[in-house]
Amino acid sequence: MNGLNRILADTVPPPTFWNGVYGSGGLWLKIILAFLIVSVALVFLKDAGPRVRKYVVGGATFLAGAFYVFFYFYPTPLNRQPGEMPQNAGEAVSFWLDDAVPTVGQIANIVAAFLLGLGVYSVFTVHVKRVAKQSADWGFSVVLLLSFFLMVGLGYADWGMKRIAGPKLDDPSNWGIVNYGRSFLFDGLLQNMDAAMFSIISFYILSAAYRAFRIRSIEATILLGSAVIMMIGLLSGFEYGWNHVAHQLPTTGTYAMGELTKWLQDCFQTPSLRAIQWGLGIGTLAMGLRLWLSLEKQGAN
Amino acid sequence: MNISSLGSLVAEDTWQNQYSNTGRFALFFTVVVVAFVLLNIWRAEKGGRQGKDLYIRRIPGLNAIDEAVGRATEMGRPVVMVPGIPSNVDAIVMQALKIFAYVTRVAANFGNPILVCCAYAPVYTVATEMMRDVYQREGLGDKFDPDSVRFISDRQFAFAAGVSGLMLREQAAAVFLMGDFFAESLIFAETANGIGAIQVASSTQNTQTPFFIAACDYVLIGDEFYAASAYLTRQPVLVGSLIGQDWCKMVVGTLVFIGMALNGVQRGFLDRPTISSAMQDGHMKPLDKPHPIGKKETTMAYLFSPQSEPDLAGVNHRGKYPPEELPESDDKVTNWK
Amino acid sequence: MADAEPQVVSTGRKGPAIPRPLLYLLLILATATPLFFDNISIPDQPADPAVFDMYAMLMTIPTDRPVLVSSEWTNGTRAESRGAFEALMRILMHRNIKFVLFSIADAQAPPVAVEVIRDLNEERKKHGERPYERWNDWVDVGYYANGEGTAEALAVSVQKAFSGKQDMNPQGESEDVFDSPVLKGVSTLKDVSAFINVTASATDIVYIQRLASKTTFLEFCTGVMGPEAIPYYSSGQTKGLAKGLRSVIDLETLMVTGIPAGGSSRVPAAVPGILPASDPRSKGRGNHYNASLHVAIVLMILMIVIGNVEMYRAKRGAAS
Repeated sequence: MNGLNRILADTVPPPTFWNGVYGSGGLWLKIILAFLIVSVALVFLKDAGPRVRKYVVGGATFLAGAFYVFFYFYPTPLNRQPGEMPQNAGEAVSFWLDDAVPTVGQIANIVAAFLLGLGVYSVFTVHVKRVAKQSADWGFSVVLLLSFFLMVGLGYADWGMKRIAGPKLDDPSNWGIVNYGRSFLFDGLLQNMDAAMFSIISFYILSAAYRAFRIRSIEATILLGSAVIMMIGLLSGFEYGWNHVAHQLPTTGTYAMGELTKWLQDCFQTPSLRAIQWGLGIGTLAMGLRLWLSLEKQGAN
Repeated sequence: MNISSLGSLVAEDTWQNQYSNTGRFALFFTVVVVAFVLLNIWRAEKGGRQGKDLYIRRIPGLNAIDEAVGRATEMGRPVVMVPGIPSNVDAIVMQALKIFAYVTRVAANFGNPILVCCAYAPVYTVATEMMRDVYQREGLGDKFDPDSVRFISDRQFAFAAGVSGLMLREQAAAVFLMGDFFAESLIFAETANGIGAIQVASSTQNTQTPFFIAACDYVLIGDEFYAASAYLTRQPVLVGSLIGQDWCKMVVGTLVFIGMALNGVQRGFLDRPTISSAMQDGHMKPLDKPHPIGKKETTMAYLFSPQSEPDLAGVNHRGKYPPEELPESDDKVTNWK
Repeated sequence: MADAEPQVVSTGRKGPAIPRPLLYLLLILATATPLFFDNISIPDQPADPAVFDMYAMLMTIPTDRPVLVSSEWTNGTRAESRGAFEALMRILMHRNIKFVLFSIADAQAPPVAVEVIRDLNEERKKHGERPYERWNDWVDVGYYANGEGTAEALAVSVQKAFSGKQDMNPQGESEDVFDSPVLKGVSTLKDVSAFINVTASATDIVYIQRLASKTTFLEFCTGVMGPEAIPYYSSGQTKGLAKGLRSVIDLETLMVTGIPAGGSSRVPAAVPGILPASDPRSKGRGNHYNASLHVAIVLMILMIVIGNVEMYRAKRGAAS
């Protein structure tokens, strides 16, 4: 086997509990088994009462969380090589967990993809009802539905053409009406509307700055002063001139603009942010713990 | 199964790598946090059964919820709730939905319409079920409108445009913005401000909190977001969890002071002392040349930044191949740290 | 109650006040006008150690291993992020470093990044340089919806995280990305020279928690995210940090001037620049936007002053 084949052979991941060789009987068996188990579970859940469902949901939640808890606490493999066999039972468990992480991560991707369909259904029902009843501003709902179908249609057509034609379609001179249509909708409209919506923030910041930065109290004055220093620190031209003066002073650069902004950031901003972040982090952990162990009562009572 | 018996089942080097990589202290601290939370949940449940009520300080933003919903009812305008733009159905969005469940309960009892705008399809499904559940528990199941919980878009600014348009068309009287917000936070806040709505906001992204503070009426900063459900419902589990979190924060604060003092002593207040040994490859080894102690060579630095031991195999995957089989390097690698 | 925002901005003088639409028009004109002029040159003296480290690291990471580039920005933040991404690409292309492009934040992000690479390739062709070829020099593995799971998978094994992904080879056929010259022989993070995150969302925290200790982690973030990213740079988890448009401007300056010996805390030796000052590419997107940045901030400071003058005059009027 020459070196290139050896490299290529080594990069193919070996079959694990979580995958199988493409097209093999083992892989098909796993797919069919998973499908059967889920179908039976769905039928069972559909007919089960609320009490049973509560326990099933709690159990599924616990198992899902337990995987990552176990993965966090259990020792991870040291410098694991492809095709390496575990030395003992404990290491076999860590290899099993290691192999499971990408698969478990994919579960959320797959669920999200299916649930996106439900979300699209929600958008549809709202806007189709509006068009049917000719409610106020129903014309915009027509625009939304048309845009949806146009984007999906042109997007898929463009993608399909690129898969067939290959890199030839990287060059716009080879584009047809479908490619131009997709480019117009995505690059021309969607991307620029995204940028335009983001740009609205600049107007709001201007009006919020006019409204919020007032010398009403000592705290507000400190807020105003530090904000102005940070804003000026972004101006390279102003900083260039300021530093030129600051370096002439006997304090030798202590009052350079970069030093002032760094002091504000390091001594005030960063510690405050980290303190809030600690609280949020611990709160997230506690919330996650309550959800995992199903300690939270349902509803708002 | 305790650690020592597990040790015989797992290769020694694997154990070392695990606890060198993640740090014994990090694991220990996680266990401590979990223990504090569970202990205080137990204490609060025990106290709850004995009729004792535990104190939580006043949080103005949460006191304003009833006022906001009442105002919306008087004006005959809906309440808009936005649980942020999550990338997962995680603890943050679940907390936001729990707060919205409370708001929905108040609105349902007042007969006021609600609008929950979701940016993530799984959140939309969870939110629909939670709000439906609230209406059913209040005995108003037939009054629940499934279209009151909507999936708008999962694109950030399409979502921002959709929700802003919704607020303007429906002339919302109360707007609740809670969860993971990013650049669109100011768009929501200013739009709601422009229509004269009361806004109660909280972002777990610290970078957006200043925008909310500048534009919104009430803001829950940081941990107040997680305290909200305990504050509103006074369930023993939630209050106990909150107290456990406070215990953890006190431990963190104590560690900061201890670290400050220890670092000050080790690194010296005026001159930096010279050290002759330092942590190398996970072990304390004598140095070839003693030098003034660096900021990464203190006890606290070693505690919080554990070092991994070098690969026992000695090579990485690409190192198995002779150099002529791999892409060429046309640059000398400078000695960098 | 929310403060009722005045519909006009009054200067306090007798006579017409400034209507808000006019104010917004002033903002548009003031920030847009400098963009039409290429020759506005504003002096810049980089001083941020994080940017020095970023440039030094990019110029000294090994070239025989690919880098992973997680591009999490879209056109909403192109003012900051596009300039950062262009600077990054220019340095990687100059050093002939292969890279893998992907995203965990937004499905729009990879196509936007690919568009930038296409524009840079056109630029390279104009200057007689070899364009960067898809498949041979870079691959795009696309978007991953479950960001945390993907980051976790990357920390365990790059091969498993990207397994099954295909990209187009020069013959127009879809092939496994691990068959490409970019990812050949790559199994874990030890086989990549750096992990670079160009982000406008909170993906930096996701990566730092899971894999910053296993590789050289570099971050380009927006200005708003900067303060939160600083502690990770201070602790050494992030080896280089560029935050916002100002850092992009500084980076573009360093791409011309280089760094003298001792300028970077991570690389003791001097680091050369990659573009002569006479090269039109030396004035990148960051420098192009610098004048607008100046105008916008001066305008904001002016509005703050006007607001306070108004408040003062109103108080005096009420007192009298």
